[in-house]
Amino acid sequence: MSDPQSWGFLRRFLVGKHPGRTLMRIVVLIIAVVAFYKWVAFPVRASGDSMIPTIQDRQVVLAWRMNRFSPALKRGDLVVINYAGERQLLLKRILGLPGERFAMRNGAIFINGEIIPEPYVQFQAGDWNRAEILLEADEYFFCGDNRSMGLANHYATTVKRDRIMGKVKR
Amino acid sequence: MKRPVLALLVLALTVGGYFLTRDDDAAILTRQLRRIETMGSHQSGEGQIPRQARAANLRELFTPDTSLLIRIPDHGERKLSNREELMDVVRQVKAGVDAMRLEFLDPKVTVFADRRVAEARTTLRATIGENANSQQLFVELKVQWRREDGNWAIEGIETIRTVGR
Repeated sequence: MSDPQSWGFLRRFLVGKHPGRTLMRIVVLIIAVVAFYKWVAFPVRASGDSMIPTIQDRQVVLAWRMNRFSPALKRGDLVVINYAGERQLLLKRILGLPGERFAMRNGAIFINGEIIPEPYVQFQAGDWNRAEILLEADEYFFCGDNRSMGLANHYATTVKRDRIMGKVKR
Repeated sequence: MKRPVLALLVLALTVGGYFLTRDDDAAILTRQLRRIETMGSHQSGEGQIPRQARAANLRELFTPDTSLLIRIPDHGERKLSNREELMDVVRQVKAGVDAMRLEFLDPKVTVFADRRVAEARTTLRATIGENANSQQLFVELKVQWRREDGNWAIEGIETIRTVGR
């Protein structure tokens, strides 16, 4: 390593022929990455089995940030919910939309009194029940895909639109 | 050429020094949250006397009529309506919980225009137990202060409902 020629190669390899330009590129890259994560998309690592089989425990997914230009949320969208100050997030599926009547009977989802198909659910529950509620104008009902878990161990409830931080595209 | 550079340097040092040393209300309130973290936390091997003594200092940070409304998902709701009730709960927790660490994450403090009341939004991370057996709990909090005789004291803490009705 004391060979001046190898130092020259290493230096050239690390900082390039023009160190000033290399530094500028690094600064631009850092700004671009920070801006991307802050305003465009952010990585989320799933923790737990509530979204199996769609998302596995410890799987990392990219969530696209919601903003005023984002398209409206649809039933079946995977979303990231701000549960506690962006420190604890929930990764769930939107089932009920604003203004709809939502109910859960023996694990099946009823929207405005009619059952909806859920192809993403492979582990069905028999005892998940929720009385019918009318979702407010900015309120969504969310739930995980793994219905084999007990409902008590699962977040399956309502959330306001401003708590939905991002959308996961699958 | 040298004078403008010197003037800029002096300006930068002055501005930097101001921001580093200023003691505004928001900084005071953030420090209070840090004190609560210290007083409210204890380790497994720590004796009852030091942990209770440290927790007793929490009293000075709260108004006598302080109110607490803590809703923890799956653990129900607890409402406290004065400082003595709060201190009772603190004593019980200190005696009954083996180890606990409190952290107020990302506090955003707002001091209102009259500088008599202030509010903070923060996420409380409570770690119960130590090492592999520890459990973490996250709740989003609203902390409210009132200024009396020049001193800030907490008059209310409330958990913010983020999901569900």
